[in-house]
Amino acid sequence: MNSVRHAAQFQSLAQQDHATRLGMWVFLGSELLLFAGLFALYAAGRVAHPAAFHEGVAHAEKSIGSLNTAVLLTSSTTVALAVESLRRERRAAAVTLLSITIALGAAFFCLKLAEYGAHFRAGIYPGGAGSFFVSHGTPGLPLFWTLYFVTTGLHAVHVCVGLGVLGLSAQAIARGKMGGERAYVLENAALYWHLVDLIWIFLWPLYYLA
Amino acid sequence: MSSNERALQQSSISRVLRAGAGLLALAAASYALSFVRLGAFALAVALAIAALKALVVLWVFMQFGRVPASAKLAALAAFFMLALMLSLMAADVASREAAPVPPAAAATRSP
Repeated sequence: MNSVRHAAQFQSLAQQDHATRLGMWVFLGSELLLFAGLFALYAAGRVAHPAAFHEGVAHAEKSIGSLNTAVLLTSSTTVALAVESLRRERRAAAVTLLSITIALGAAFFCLKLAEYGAHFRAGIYPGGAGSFFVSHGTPGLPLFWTLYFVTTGLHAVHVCVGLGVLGLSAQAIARGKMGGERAYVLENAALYWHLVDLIWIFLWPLYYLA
Repeated sequence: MSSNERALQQSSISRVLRAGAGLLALAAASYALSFVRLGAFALAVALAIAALKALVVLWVFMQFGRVPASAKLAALAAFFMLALMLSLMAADVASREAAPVPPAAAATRSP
């Protein structure tokens, strides 16, 4: 087992643990507000152009979006199980569960790219550019698709960052640099992944279902 | 490890698994309901299920009930700011009026 020392600016490992958790939740709060601006834009746009937003949802790739929802919810479960495994020093199980989470996250990203490809082939681009908008002239439709690309694109960037963080955590556990005594580090990485999941939980109904 | 600790750990794993299964069931319900004609209630129902899923993630996976009080305060401050922003946005949208036509433009439009 590693001997764990706290950083010089802390009086104890418990204090460092507490500060790390507090910092992470402040960060998650700022991330929530970042996405909240885009959700507010969506709400205002939907009130102003209800018909266009209904039409936009009707043209969304519902099957891919729904499959991605199942993928992301499952990945959130596996990362939570990885944290539980590391807490009880089952490092091999934690690495395996993190690997499954990373594979699911990568699958989510690949499906998202396939979805964007389908939209581009249909002539749907951000900013109302593309042949789709010539035949579909409903006012507000370009706004729906621009918001769709910006919001899901920002979310996809967060997925990539999360994959990197989870990958580094898995590597640290596999090399014996992180065990149960430092499980709070993996907990913070998992918190970030859960936030990515939380954002998608609301994006899915707004852009694919209703 | 005592038998009590072992039992506690097993219960936390089963809790995570049950939450995961519950989330997938809620997602399936949301997907199925999207094919039902709910009219004006469709979005409200979909968002209500989404809120339920978010609570499960926040409570079981993120263990919000077990985080330090200071971290809870930080998270609640974010929710407060979120509520404030959305309320002001809603007030703005609800109180908007059609922009008046400038006199010069109105004159050119009249026959």
